[in-house]
Amino acid sequence: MAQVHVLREGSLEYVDGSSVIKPATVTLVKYRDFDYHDKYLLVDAGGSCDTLDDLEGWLDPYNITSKDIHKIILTHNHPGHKALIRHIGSPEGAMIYGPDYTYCSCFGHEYHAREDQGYIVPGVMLLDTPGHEGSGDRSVLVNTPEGLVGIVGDLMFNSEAYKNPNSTRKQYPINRKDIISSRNMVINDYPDMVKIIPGHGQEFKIEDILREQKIIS
Amino acid sequence: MAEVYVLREGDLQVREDDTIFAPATVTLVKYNALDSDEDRYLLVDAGGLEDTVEDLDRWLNPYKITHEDIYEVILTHNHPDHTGLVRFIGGEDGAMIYGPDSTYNNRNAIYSERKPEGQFGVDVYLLDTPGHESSNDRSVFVGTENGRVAIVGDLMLNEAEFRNIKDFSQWPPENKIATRLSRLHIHSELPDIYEIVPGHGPSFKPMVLLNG
Repeated sequence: MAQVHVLREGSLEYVDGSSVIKPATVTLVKYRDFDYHDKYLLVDAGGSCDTLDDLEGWLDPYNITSKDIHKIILTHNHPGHKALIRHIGSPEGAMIYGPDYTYCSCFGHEYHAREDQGYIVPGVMLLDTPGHEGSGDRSVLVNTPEGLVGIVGDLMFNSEAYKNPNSTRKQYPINRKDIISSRNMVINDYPDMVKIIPGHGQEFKIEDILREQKIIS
Repeated sequence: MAEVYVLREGDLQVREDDTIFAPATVTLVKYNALDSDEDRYLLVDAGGLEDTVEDLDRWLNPYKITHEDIYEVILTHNHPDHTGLVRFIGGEDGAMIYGPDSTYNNRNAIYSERKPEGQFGVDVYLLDTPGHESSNDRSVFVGTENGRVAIVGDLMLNEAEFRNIKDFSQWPPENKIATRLSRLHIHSELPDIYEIVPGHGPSFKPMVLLNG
């Protein structure tokens, strides 16, 4: 079983007709690797305005530093989700599982094939959820003691996208049909999912949404 | 007239284990802004993770500027080998980043709409050339003393993909049809293009290639 901790909750605030302040969610996953050692990965890696000091501050409550991060999974390539990747990992760097390629933050310009969807480490699964930025977009499903948690990046900015999966108003996905299909897949194909961590909003429990919608009592 | 300088020529090698060694081209453009007469500097694409600010300053040194003098960055697309140095560019106030999806200052989290295709500065023009990474990919056309220079990012990795617009063997794009149409668009601008700066190879003069 792995553990999920939101290091920085994303948000979304429109400041005028066309500008939006949108720091993205950064999530830490603690997992037990095949060698039985506890290790850490990040899902998404902050934006341009985030600094390494910010990251160290977020990690401090867990008694680790950026050097302890082994892997980074990028849900997509938008700038608000990947700015800190070059700073993360031990001197050997961290492996970065991008939507297009796999690469190390320290190896010179070397790129490997994109990691296929499926389990990447025990309890942590990559799921293809195209539509927001491109066909390579992905989400991360984590088996935790409380149940299955979905870290979905900008597939869903916040809980509104779960409540109205067919609405893309003010979201401007690259492929509307794909993003709607991906959202419905996450909602319908994973009935055991207990919580979703969206890209720019508070995490939410599925049970709370269903109760709000009077689907369950 | 604007001026174009390739700071770091891109490269592409596929190794035996299918690893791709792919530093991307980084290009400096000196131009006049539309709203003032002063010279400005922008970068087209911003290196990869392996590149450092020291590398960038070394590339800029012959032009007597540093990364703090770069006012703007135009990203042809969002792949990591083209965006590695974005966060470091500009002075204290940062630089404006014209990404394929949004426009933002690299010192805050405020994102505005993508700058549409069209005139960017005096003699600098943004052209939508979708296909390699997404439908938002772009190229930059620059009017120089010698003629128009097309900085095309990974629309064409190198001259092989100019010679054969259906060549996708080196690095398959996200959308082959869109890529082919975008490459055709570049061809349709000939003979007005003096030079093409591709994403992972030396720049070349297309009319010299075509005329043998």
